Amino acid sequence: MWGLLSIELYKIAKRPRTYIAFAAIAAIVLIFQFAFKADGKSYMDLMLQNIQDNFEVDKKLAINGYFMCYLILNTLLVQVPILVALVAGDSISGEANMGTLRLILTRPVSRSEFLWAKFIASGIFTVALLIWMAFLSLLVSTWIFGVDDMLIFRVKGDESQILQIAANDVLWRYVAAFAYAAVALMVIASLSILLSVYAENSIGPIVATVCIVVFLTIVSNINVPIIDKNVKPWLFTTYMVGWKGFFYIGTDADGMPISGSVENWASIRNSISILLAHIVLFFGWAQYAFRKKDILS
Amino acid sequence: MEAAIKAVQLNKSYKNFQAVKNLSFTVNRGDVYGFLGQNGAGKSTTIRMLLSLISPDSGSVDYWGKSLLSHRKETLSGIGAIIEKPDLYKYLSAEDNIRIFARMNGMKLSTKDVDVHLERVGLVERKKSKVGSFSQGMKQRMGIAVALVHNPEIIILDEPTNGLDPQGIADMRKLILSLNKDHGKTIVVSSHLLNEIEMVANRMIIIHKGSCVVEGKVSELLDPAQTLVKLKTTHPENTLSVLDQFPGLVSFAPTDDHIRLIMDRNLVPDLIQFLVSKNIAVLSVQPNHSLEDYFIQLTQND
Amino acid sequence: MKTNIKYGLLAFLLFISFQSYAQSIEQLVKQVRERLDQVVDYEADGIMKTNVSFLKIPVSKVTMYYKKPNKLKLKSASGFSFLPKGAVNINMNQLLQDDNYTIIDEGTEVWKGVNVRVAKLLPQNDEDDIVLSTLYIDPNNRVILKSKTTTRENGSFELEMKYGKYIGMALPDKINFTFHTKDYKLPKGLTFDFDDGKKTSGIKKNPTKGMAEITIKSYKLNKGVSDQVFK
Repeated sequence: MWGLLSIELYKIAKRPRTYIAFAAIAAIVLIFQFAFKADGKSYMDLMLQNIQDNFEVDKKLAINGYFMCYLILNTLLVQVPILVALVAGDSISGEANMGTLRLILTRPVSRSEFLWAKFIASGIFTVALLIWMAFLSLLVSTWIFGVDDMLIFRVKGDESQILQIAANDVLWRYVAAFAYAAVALMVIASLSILLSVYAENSIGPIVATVCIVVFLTIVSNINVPIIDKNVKPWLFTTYMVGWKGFFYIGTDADGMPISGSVENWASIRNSISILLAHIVLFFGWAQYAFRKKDILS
Repeated sequence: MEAAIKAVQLNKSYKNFQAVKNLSFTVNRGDVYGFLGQNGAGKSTTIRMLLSLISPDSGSVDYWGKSLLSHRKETLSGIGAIIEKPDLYKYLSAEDNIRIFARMNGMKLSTKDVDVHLERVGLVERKKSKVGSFSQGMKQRMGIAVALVHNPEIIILDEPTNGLDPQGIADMRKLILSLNKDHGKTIVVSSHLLNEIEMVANRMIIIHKGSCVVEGKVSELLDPAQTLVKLKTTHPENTLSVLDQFPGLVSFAPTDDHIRLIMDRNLVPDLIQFLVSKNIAVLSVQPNHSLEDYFIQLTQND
Repeated sequence: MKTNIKYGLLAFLLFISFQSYAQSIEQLVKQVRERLDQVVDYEADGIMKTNVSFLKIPVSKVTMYYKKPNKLKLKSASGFSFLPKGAVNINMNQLLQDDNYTIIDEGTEVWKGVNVRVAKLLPQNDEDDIVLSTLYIDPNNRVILKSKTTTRENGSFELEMKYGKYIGMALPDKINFTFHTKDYKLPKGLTFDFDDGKKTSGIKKNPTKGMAEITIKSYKLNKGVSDQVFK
């Protein structure tokens, strides 16, 4: 299996489209950083617009590396699924399209192992993307904007809140958030691989993945009671932003944040379980379909 | 002696279309076995079943007495195949392609090994070039290099001359004969052109609409003295069970409504007598033409 | 004889309380002011705990600077923090800086178990930011325990003071600010929030009141404070 995996990683590394994903992330992150370096104050003015009369805030300190990373992730993790689909969606259908699938499967290679190698390779690609994102959005941001306490702006129910997390309480949250994001993106990869098994060209699974994610994200954000209760809890898109839960710091009776705490661990555990269940479902289905598939390409 | 390949009662259908029907054949060690049939006859489907790319609805394939289904990895490790045109990784070099497919066979090639394999097909000087830049003939040669990289005992070639120029076709023919005679490889080669099979194969099967028309030695099947005879009897099952006792039959195979024989037409009266002696009533015996003519007729009708 | 002593004690106590009451409110305020006047400047290190419904922020280290006559600045001692405006910029030293106000005696009250004198201060200068200030003064210690102040620019707020070792200079150990603030509303569409299924408590706390508590650890008194600090 490790031989197959090393082959897959080599192929991913040799394809130009792989680097499109890294370049796209770099471009988005750098644009954000440039914009905020030039005029981050306007954003902070907007966010604090109706309490500026009552509170004095050092906006320069507020726009620090930790804050910037959160902001960037907030945007990027909506787009990154497309980049993951770009590689994972090509995994089987790309080989079929190229004609190499029939060559591979006439070798003494188990179909199941081959698909596992594709899956793990997609996972490694996803993690590499996230590490790249972490490097740019966290490390480079802290270098450009410095480090200080982190502000989180959130809506909880019908209340808006501002959370402040002490600087020394932030890093572990980012590690956890990136790990969560890896799981969430593996759901996308699994879905893409599943669709790839059924297709004979790359565009189909990639577009189909994106359409499914967009559609389900819209459904996840509809506020209709019957959908809230019966549909949303089962959609993986409902939990894609669950990484933010690591930044919703727990508070004591006086509303003081408790260092090292998270408001709702149970919810995070539940989210991860649902995401893992989706990975098992999609990849299990892909395995079943691929083992039975007639290779006609 | 164990057969290199034994296919028994293979069936495969897609929705309302039966691609392969009750197909059985045997490839012996050292054979160059020809698969002949016009386009859409079921050759590629059969070959893909031999290579586990397609699962048969029923039937079995054995390699050296071992089932393909239960010993997939083991059996495939001794097979090299080119299916239609050889598609490789266009964005990788010739060297990378060879290494990757060797690795899939559990082999780690040294630089020297790569050079040997590419030298064999005359591509060593282009080893760093991306395969996407190769001509059709060069890609075909790369396909052969990849198929042979793990020194398989059995080589399966599905329409290997498609898209090749006359020189390419001649080179392919020479290669097949060399691999068989000089290296003792057992080769299965499919084609829709009778003369291609005739020039390389020692045994062959003709497939039409997914079923076997005839199977046997090329020299006997294509002997002009041999005739295609349609035989109808009152008891086809009994007839089939006694036919192999009759000397002089090159081959026989049942169809939907008759039994197809290849035999010397001069032996037809003897055949009738033989069947009568076995208490089998003969309804009709219809000598037609040579197998070659029959095959030409098949391709023209469809 | 015993009865005489009793009456004598009673008379003495009545005399003392009469004396206290008899002290005019103006005199009391003046006494408080005189104590405050001992302080030319100070630098006070402390921690600030903010209690506002929409702010979940940790306790922050702060430093309060004062320089006569009316310079006051609250600064975050380490990194970033939310500093309540307005209310913090008023302290008792500033309040009683000049004589330019009318004092109205509002009598006495019991506040947190202490008999306090209540004085209303009305600035005579119409351009002053302070419109009205109500002081709750401990007559025995001559310190202000509580003030309610209404300003033109910064709304209304309350200050409560607790005293410890610096009571001699009328400098509190603890200051509680209660102030009004607008409810915080995040601009729409800027966050894709994670709905963890938890609802808010349902009991909507008064969103327009906030509280900040500053606990002073130490004062550096009359050591000199640069004007740069107040910029």
